[in-house]
Amino acid sequence: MALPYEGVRDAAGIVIAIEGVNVAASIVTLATLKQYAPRLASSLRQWRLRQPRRAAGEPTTLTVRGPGLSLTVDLPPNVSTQQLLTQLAPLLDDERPSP
Amino acid sequence: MAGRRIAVIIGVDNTALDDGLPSLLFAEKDARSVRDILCDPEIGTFDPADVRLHLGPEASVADLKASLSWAVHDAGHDDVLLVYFAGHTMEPEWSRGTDVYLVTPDLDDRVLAHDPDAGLRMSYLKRHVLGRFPGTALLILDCCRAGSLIATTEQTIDMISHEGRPEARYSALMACARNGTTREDAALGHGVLTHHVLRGLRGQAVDRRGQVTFQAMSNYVQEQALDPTPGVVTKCWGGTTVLTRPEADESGVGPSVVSSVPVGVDLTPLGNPLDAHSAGILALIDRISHAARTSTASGSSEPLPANVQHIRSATEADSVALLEYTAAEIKTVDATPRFDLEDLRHLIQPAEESVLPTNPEWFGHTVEFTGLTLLCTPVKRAADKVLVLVVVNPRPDLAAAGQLVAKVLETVWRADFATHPLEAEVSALTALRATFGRLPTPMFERCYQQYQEVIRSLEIVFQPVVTIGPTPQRVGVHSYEALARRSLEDPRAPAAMLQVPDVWGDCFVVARDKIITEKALMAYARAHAEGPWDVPKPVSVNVSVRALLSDPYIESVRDAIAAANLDPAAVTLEISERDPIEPRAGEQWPDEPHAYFHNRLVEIARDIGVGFAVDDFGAAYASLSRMAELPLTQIKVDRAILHHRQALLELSFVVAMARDALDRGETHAPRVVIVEGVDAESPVTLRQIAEQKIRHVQGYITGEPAAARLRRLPLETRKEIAARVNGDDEPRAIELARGSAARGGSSLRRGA
Repeated sequence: MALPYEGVRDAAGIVIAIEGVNVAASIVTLATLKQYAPRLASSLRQWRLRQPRRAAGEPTTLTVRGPGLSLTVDLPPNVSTQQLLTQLAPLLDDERPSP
Repeated sequence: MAGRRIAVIIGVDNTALDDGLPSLLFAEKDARSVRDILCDPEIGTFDPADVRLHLGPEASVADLKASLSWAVHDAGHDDVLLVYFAGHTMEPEWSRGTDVYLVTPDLDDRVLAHDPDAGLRMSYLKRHVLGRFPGTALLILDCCRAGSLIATTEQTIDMISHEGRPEARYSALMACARNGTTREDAALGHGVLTHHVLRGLRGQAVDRRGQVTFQAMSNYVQEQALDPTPGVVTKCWGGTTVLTRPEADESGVGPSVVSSVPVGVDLTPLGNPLDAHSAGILALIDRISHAARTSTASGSSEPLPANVQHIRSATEADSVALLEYTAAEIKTVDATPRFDLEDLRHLIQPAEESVLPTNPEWFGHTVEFTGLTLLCTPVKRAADKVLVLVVVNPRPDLAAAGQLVAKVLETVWRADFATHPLEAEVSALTALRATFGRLPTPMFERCYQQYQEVIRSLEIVFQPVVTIGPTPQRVGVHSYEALARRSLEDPRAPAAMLQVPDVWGDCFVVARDKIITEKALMAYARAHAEGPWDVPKPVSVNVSVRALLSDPYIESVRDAIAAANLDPAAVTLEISERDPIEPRAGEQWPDEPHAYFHNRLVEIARDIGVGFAVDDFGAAYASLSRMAELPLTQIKVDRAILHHRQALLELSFVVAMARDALDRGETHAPRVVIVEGVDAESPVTLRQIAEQKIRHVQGYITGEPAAARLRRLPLETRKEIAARVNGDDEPRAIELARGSAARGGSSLRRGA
């Protein structure tokens, strides 16, 4: 996913579809996203678990980039939601500098 | 959230019962191990947040019922529940065989007679947990009387061999029959059933898709001929429920036959006939490299190429000479100070024809005579002479290495250790591979590492593909091809190094293409950032057929495009003309080769959005069928075609082929045709090329070598190209064409 998304009225908005989360036009701000963080983590986990396993030594990583933000999250095949929440914390942190 | 995978895992070693039940040693450890493997980040499928582990004192009746209720509450049809129990069971006398209890640390059998629900009954597990769970329920019982889960009050029936009531919707693996006992094994460090469950989950029960399902795990446990025999019930989807994924899927590298080497098993890879000499040969190469890099010419800081001094130093010999053998004589070309040809002539001039260096089959020999050892090896052959290295009293291990040493000396004599030590080392090891086949692992690994370093050290330059037209305004840069060079000033490709993987195989091929593609795309992003274009022009990179079949390579392309922030549609992978599209020996493709490769390219294009070009059409394997049958976006015509008698006819045909998909309505644009190798010497003029409706050429036409920086074409260059498109250079071109025809029409200049 790319942050922020061009053309979104809120500069901190992103386009994202979260499994099981019905948000208008799938456009959410980071503030909105924060309340769905557990579901976001769970959806990422479910997605990762559905991916074909790859050979050892070929890690899958989630990269999140945007103004003032550069996150690289390791995604082992059975990544736990707690690990994801911990690693995504900087994305959802209120103290994050605005773009 | 749909698709939750919930587990309640229980292990109880000690009880408060006073009827003499012994403490268990491994029940809690078993439970912890099962939990760990189900939640393992690499091979597990359960989220630790959805797994409740109850060990010892934390496994009270209230705790367990709370967790089991939590598991059932709000569960959906897509959810999975696994319940595991390791510990004792108890059958109160008053129950007359109708109630079996899982023993918890707070179980008090005196209370049960008055309050049967004060303990965790098997029937509670069955009716209130497994029976109520709307999704897929799985149960593993490593305890005595486990079979009572499915037993009825008809005690004459041993239900361990039956499937229980037809309405049962859960699946279960039970350690024993309803009246059976199970045991722990100190040697295994686990309960016997759980030991095999864990082995199955870790990979012993893996299926062809790299997964361990409940059914596969249960089957594996049953195949272990345990006593008592475990029982299995599978219902609904339980059998196919995946518990762990120990191996890569078939879409990856495929599961290995043996997933792990069991403790106590001694596994030794088969030896290689060259193993004994591996260390000695690598050390010899090191010493030659060191000698070449550290010795300098007198009065100069420049290192010297390999010579007899280096060889003497590296072989620790008394002396070394380079001799020239002809049918008539032997003479010294070069020698270290202590070498005396006359003293040794009787030893180095054998009378036997078969051991004469001038015999083409001769591959070197040693001479032993009164404490003297001569190692004689060929380093260069010509029609009527051969250059031979004579090494006097080398290290004994080198003389014993025989033809290996001969091949190394022959190679290093040609290689330039002084200027390009890594390349020279790779060349020496590659020569061994080409001559002797499979090499010992240390040699392979050394070469693989060194080769990647060599490739990483290459520079990337960009050659423009030029759009031609009759006016300067219609002439310009269409795109760029990324090319690898030893240095930015070097006009030639490092062909020998780029061809090294042909000898070693796919491992090297994929490594080379990954490194070059990544370097090329990153270098292009930097060049564009400093260049004149607002939007990046399309860029192409050469790639081998084998790399395109490699998932890791494709992943690296995807990552590199993202890292370089390029539009994937502006990236073209040029399929090398040097590779056949066919399975390797021992490989089986499901379809006819071109159909299989076509589908592979379509899949890649759909996945990451890049385009494909056939490179050097008309040369090597870049055949007509390749052009006609693959989903290409570009056709790059080899320069050789420009020298053919029917060059214009051939170009016209290529253009027609490029339009074919458009004419059939399968695409909205024709494939781009690019003629390579166009320069001032080309026998076909730009006007003739343009008349074939070809709009793009590549070569030295701009008068500037490929460079690391991107530039606009100067106005003068565009004017000149436009003039040539208008035929202003025709008289000179006609002369060139006449000259070409006079030479038979096949004079090729296959430059870099």
